[in-house]
Amino acid sequence: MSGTAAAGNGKGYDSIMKILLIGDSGVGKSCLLVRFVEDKFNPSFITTIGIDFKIKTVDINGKKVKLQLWDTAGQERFRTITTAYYRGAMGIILVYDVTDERTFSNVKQWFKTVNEHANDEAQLLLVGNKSDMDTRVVTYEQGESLAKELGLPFIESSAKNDDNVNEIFFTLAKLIQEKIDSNKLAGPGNGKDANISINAKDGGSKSNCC
Amino acid sequence: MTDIIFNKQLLRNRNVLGGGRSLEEKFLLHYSEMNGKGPAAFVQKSLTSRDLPMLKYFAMNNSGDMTNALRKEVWYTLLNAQLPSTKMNDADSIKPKKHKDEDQVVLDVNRSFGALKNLSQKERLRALLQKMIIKILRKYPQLNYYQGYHDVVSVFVLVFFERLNKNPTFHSIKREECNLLNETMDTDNDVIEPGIANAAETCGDAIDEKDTKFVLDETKLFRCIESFTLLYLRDFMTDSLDFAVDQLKMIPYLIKKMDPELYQILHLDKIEPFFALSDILTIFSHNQKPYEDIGSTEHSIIFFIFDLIISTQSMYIPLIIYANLVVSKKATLLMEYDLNVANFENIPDMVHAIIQKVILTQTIFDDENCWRSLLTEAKINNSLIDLKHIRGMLNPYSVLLTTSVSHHQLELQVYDLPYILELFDKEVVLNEKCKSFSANDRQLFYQGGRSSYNRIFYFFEKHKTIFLIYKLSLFLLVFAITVKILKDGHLKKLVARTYFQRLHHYYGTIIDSSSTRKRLWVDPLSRLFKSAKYSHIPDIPSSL
Repeated sequence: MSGTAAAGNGKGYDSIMKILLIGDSGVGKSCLLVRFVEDKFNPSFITTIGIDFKIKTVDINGKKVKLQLWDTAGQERFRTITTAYYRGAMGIILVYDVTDERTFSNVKQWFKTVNEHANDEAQLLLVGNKSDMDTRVVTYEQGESLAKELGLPFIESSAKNDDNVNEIFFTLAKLIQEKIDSNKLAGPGNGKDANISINAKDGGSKSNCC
Repeated sequence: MTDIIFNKQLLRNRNVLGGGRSLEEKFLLHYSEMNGKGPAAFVQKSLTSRDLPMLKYFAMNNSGDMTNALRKEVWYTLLNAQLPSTKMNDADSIKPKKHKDEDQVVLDVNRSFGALKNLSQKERLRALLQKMIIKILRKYPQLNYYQGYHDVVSVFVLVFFERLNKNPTFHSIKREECNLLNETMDTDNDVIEPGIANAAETCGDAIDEKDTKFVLDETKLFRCIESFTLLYLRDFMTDSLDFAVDQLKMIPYLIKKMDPELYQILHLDKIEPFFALSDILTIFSHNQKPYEDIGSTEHSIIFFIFDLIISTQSMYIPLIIYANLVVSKKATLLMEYDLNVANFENIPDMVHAIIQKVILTQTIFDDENCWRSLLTEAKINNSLIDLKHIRGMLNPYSVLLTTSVSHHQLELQVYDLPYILELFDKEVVLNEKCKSFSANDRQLFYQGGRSSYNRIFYFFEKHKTIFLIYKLSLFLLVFAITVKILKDGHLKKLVARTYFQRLHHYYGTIIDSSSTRKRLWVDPLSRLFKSAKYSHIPDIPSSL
């Protein structure tokens, strides 16, 4: 959890966002996360079993935002366990592998799972990973049109080449921040998200941990 | 059936310890007799004399003395004795049909041994790992692969790989792949089965002596994995992870016994202990890789944990270790709790995050003293396991209540394959039945009869025949009425001069009589019965 270092400087943060990565096994969820948090890439990165937790503090529009990133196992049999963590997620990154048609066609299934288990206000984002590969079978246009159909923003990325990886997390964080701000305008305490950010501010002074 | 299993185990558990001290003395005596020759000579002697209790005792207490060359012999001897091979688990039962989970296996195998620097070693290990897992799945197609099983199997692969590593003329494993389905499962490893020789010939190359040795070792490796999977990991391999989650529930149970305060503070009564999932499913081998560099691996704590599980035949070991680990880090956990209590959206998230941060750090795994004491604790903490209580927390066919129950007796417990497969089939059926249940509902179901809600539920499930009898009697009633109607001509005749007519008559005549009105509500029937036909029945006192 190298992200702790960033938060450990005593400056605290302005808000916290819980973000989840989901998608089929082997699409590169952990690789995206490790690239983003630790700026490393290992093609034979280890399998995620159950749920892994990482943290990184980023700057969004001049505000320090602490991202709580939950990485999930892709195998079907973990679904009942991972969905327990959808609770309170403000952002969900839905990942598929552009070199694997099956992972792309399963996106709709994942989308359904999200709708069943996540908050209505959760901000989603569709990501086609491994865009550096020559063996691509899912085109950018296909990804884009699926995203349009589901009403999600869309990004293609490569954890290997570090293409668009930061964009994924920053785009999502900004979208979430906008939602929080608009919820605040609508009336404080209206949405769950607003409550959380208020909570987060309270906890800001003693934030030199996780 | 359940009761039989359970009582057998209880009896076995009562037989514990009796001769423990004497074995210790015997062990020390043997050990000193072999003075200067070292553990290798000791193990060799126990192997040749097939002194299983002695080997068991050695594996329980002398992990640190074992090299992997010794370890694999000890593991093989113990595991092979626990589930002796029968005709049924010989080569003819290997199904050539592809298992549904093989694609997932390939995905995970390709991500295994990532930390190894030697590329060719890595490739060989991966090929061997894949071969072993697929062989198990094809032989037992009813088993479902779970992510993490590959981590457990890779521990066995690493222990057995040592010799291959030292053998420069070792053939590429890929070439061996073509033998996969022809290979005879040799169980008596001192004999070269003709099947193996034939299979090797089909591959076109004559094999030299060293390679033969390798093939034999691979057979032993497979037997170890097979026995370990069936006796210790079954619960994780049904169609869902429900029974794995049940096992996880043992962790809060143990923590509550060790430190009720910590249990309360971490809200372990309210949250699902999913934070421990990867460590329990993989017996710590996912988060703590036993290798950085092959050769320096023999003292890995992971091997010690496996030594203890295999020798005590107990899958409580990882659960007890985990609970002890949490309790031993209480101070740090409480500090983290205070720091983070406002940082998380909900309590389960926070507890997961702080436990992951505190428990799964490399520094803890590197702290050998900490682990030595954890292992010792795990050995002596069996008293925390109250089987009577645990029985209501687990499905009756769970490994924790059948084939890997915590015990310290000297003799190895021996199981036969048909019994194990029957247990697994029952787990599969139960898993289907409980699929829509939450973990808590499942526990209620296992407790069958303890709570009133569950008593009814369990009764329905268990006594389907009684309800069949009810149904049958209802059917007979309807049948009898139908026959009566057919006999009398029509329904009106059946009821005409009977009860209903009398009732009508009664209400019609007494409704005006103020003296009887009161009794009308008290007991209309008693008056009815008083009429001529029923006059022999005594009147019921009006005070009623």
